[in-house]
Amino acid sequence: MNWIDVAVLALPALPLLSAALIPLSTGGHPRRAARWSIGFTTFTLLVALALLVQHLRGAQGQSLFVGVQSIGLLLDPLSLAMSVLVAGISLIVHVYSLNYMADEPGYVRFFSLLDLMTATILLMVSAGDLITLLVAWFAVGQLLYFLLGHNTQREVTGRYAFWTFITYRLGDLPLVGAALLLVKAYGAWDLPTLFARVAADPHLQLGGVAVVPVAALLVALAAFARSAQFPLHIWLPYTMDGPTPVSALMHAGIVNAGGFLFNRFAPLLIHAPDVLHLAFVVGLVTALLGSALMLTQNDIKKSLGYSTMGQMGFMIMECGLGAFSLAVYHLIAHGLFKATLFLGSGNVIGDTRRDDGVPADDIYTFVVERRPLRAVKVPWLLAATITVLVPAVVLGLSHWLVAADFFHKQGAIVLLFFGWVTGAQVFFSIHKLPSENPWRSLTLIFLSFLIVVVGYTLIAHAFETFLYPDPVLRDATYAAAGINLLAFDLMIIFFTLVLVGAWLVTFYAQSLDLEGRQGTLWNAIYLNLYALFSREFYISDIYTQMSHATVAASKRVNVWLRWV
Amino acid sequence: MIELLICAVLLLPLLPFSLAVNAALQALPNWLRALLLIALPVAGAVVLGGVPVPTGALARVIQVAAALTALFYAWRLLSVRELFVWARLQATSAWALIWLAWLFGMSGERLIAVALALSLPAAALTLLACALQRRLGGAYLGLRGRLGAIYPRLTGALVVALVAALAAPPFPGFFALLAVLHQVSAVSVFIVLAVWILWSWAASLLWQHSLFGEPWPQPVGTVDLSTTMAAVWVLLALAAISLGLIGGWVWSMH
Repeated sequence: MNWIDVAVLALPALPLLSAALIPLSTGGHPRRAARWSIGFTTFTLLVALALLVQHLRGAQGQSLFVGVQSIGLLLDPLSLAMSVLVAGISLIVHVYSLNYMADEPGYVRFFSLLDLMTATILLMVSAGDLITLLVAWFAVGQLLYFLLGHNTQREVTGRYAFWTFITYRLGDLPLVGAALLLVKAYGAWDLPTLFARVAADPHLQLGGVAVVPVAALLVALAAFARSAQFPLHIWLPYTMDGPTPVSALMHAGIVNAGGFLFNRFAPLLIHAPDVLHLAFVVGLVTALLGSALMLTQNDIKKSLGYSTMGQMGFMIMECGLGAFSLAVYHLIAHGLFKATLFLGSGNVIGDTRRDDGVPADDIYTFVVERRPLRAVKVPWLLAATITVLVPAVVLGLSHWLVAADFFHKQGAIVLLFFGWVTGAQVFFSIHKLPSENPWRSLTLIFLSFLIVVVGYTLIAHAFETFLYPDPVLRDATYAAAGINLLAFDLMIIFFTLVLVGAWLVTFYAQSLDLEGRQGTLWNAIYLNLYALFSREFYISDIYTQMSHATVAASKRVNVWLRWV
Repeated sequence: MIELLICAVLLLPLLPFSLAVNAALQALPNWLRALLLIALPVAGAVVLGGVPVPTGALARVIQVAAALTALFYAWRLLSVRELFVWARLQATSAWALIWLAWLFGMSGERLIAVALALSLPAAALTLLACALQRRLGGAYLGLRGRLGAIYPRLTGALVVALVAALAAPPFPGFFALLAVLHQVSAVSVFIVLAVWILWSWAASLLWQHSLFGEPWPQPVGTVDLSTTMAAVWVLLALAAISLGLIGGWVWSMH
């Protein structure tokens, strides 16, 4: 056993050791317990970084299985990237909690649970076999309940922690089904052997049922529940009653597990194109609804929750397009910025009470103070040309420079399309804002856009090569997500029309009088739609009614049977 | 064979016999009930191990009865707030799964191990219910909430036992259910998974009451579990986890 084997095993073992030791050995000194916990987490991060450096220096693409027979841990680019992310965010959350949780009861218990959660997530991302993956997958939901329900003084905290737990458990079961189906069909628990056998015979049938598509569907369902996809999303916006560090860890590291699962089972999913198409649709619906609900909520915390839901929708949609590595890139980027948002939210609220911090620039003067400016406009034809062409040229050139064959992949075209839409929207918004010097604003936006797109393209391409060094597998993921060319073209035209229509409606909302006059049918429809969005489509109410009815019926039968 | 099957039905009761067995268990002293919650399934698994698996109509009848019993008792758990009753009904639901595993070919030591793994948490819960009864005058958690602040060690032991009862990893019940799922047919897989989600739902509702429910204003006793007793429970949980992990790994390797 060399140092790499030891380091791979140490990754989940170190926080596990910390979780066991700190409640026993630091009696009466809670701060010491927290410092020990931070020390262990720092060491875990260093081990993960050492393994990453070793991997980058060594032979690329080699994965290592450390274990006994079919049970063990896997060291590959995916587990390395995720381990560094998880250990890093966990360390930040630990350091933040040192003072933030100081006055809370159960301080040592909190750190112990945080360590246990870190160990479990690290075990999950580095699991090399289905049993270990299932153990870790189940345990994450279990531990999250107790972390979210840390404050037992508020009944509502427990209720929403329960929602999370039961949704996670509902999502755990499809993964059990997938694991059992794969093991029965291919006779292997360890992932490298299993994927090799799947690649050798992807059309295997068991009792007349095609194994790979069904197992892939079950894996996707597990990922949907874990990553709050519609209609299994209700728990996410309601879990803000947990401690802020837990919210940060959850939104930055736990809810992203769906994207990880898609990547872990990529060798399986490339043989199930229909499941990828389903993921695209579910992700798209979730992204749209999450974003819409984020905009219609008047509770800022719920709004943040729905923002995460929208991001998770995008992540699953990327998987559905075959851009698996982009989903990991997305989850890392989202993890970092969402953790920053949550951990910085307290300071922001405090600072805002003293000073709103909004600079008195042109945009502020116009939007907030509504003072008219001596606005100068760019001719509309020129503005329209810039809006449409500049993002397309920047995106196209930057992607063509890093990978000329990029445009042959349908999934990549869709992603470029979304990039173009975002870019065009930015340019159009700038054009709409009154400014005394519109060319300066447009130039600044162009430079920012250029830096973001070129930087993103280079990093995303390098990351894809790191995560999937095998070009055959890389291309296979995009190929599996592809659809009929005519259907693809029609879809792009449809989305273009919808988006252009949505822009026009948005920017001319006031003059169009969307609400309609009171008493008219249109006004009634508008108000009902508004109620539907603000009440979150009544999904939580439906679930609550259904569960209450089930429990009440059980109670009636128990009374009738005298509880025997 | 029929005599042995009847004997097994009494030891691992299926509907409608389960109603009578549950009524009998309820009438027994607590310590004896805890003992029987382990002895009955082990004896039942031993007896079943010696019976050849039936085919045809009899097998279908047993399969339907086992599925109904497991689902019915798991569903009934949702509204139970009394810990003694909860432990008894959960055990009855779990025992029906042993029948399913046996019907699809599990036998010998593996069947006994599954029976033990699925029944031990119920026995532990019965003992913890006794501890609660001594302190609170009853084990009805629907009226006795927020126990963590008053009895942190006892509440901890209770929650861990409930986690084990819902067959969460790394407790042996998790690996036992995986073994059962691996053994049974596709239709029965759905039954076992439905039972699993109902157990999870019921267990979380129960600890929800003990952790977040209405605080109990007048506890009869104010003494938490002693450190020694808490250490014993921790050691028992660790032993169960170790045995579960080893058993699970060994099972998956073969």
